[in-house]
Amino acid sequence: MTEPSAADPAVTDDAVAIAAAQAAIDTPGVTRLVPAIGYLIRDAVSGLARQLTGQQLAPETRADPDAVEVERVDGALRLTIRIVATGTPPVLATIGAVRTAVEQALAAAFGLTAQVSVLVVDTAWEPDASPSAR
Amino acid sequence: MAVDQVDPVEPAPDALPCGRDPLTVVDDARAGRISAHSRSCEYCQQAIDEDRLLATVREIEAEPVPAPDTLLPRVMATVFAELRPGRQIALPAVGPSASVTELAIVSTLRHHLDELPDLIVHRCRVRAGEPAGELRPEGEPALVVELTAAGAYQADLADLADQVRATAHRVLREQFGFDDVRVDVEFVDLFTLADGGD
Repeated sequence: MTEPSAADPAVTDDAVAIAAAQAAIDTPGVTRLVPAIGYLIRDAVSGLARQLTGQQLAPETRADPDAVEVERVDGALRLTIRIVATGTPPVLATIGAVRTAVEQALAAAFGLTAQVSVLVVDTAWEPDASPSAR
Repeated sequence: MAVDQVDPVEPAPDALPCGRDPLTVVDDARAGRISAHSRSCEYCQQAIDEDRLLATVREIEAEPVPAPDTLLPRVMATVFAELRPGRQIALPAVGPSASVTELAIVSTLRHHLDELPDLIVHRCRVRAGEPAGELRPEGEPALVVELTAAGAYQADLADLADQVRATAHRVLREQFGFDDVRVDVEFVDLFTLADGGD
């Protein structure tokens, strides 16, 4: 994910993923982002290598850019974001809010237009979010 | 029997170009005894530096590498999410750009059905039907929920099954936008409220 995006050669896919992840995690109803297993293994190996060579570890962040898959298809930018939703607000509304937030963030930061897909990997209901409590 | 051959003896390291024994130079340096010659001799200094570098490498090698506390929970959460999610199901109200895993639907259903006092959910499975259109047979719903559960001994099971279906339909509609759902409920056990209900 280091090549420039097709829409703007000055913006790398990593930068796009970071901006998208931040917008997604800031959306109400999103409790965390879920990277794909391949990214997680890569991060673990990279982290251990950094420790062995005495380099500073990258800070942990909830806005995990590895949860954002960036693709360029025929010049169009496509993003898939993997989230865990809280269920409050409803999952359907959360998905819409994530898409809107990410699209706006990319437009504001880079002037990019992207097709944003959201995959809800799981829901994590908080104890006080029981139906009888609402 | 005559012994003509002798096992070769490991030769001592060659002397440094300055004529000093490198092991002696290094041993002295480790003990803090560096002679005036060794201080100014480039060969002795090189031997001492190499020994220090080797000692540093051995120290690093011996140190355990502590993994961050957050690493294991993060790995396990992702592994479980990766292994258990089941198929991805596109949400009919949004289209292919929004999808949920079977795990997400089951988690949500379990959370809400656990609120029914006369019910203990044992197994909950969901499966998506074919996309609407020619591929989906007539009468086949977009989503099928299969539940096995235990009901309270005192409960009217037919009424309880209706409550389960109503709850599942409401939750799936409100949370995910599914309107076309079939909910199959099978009671496989009974419990008294003292055993399992509150």
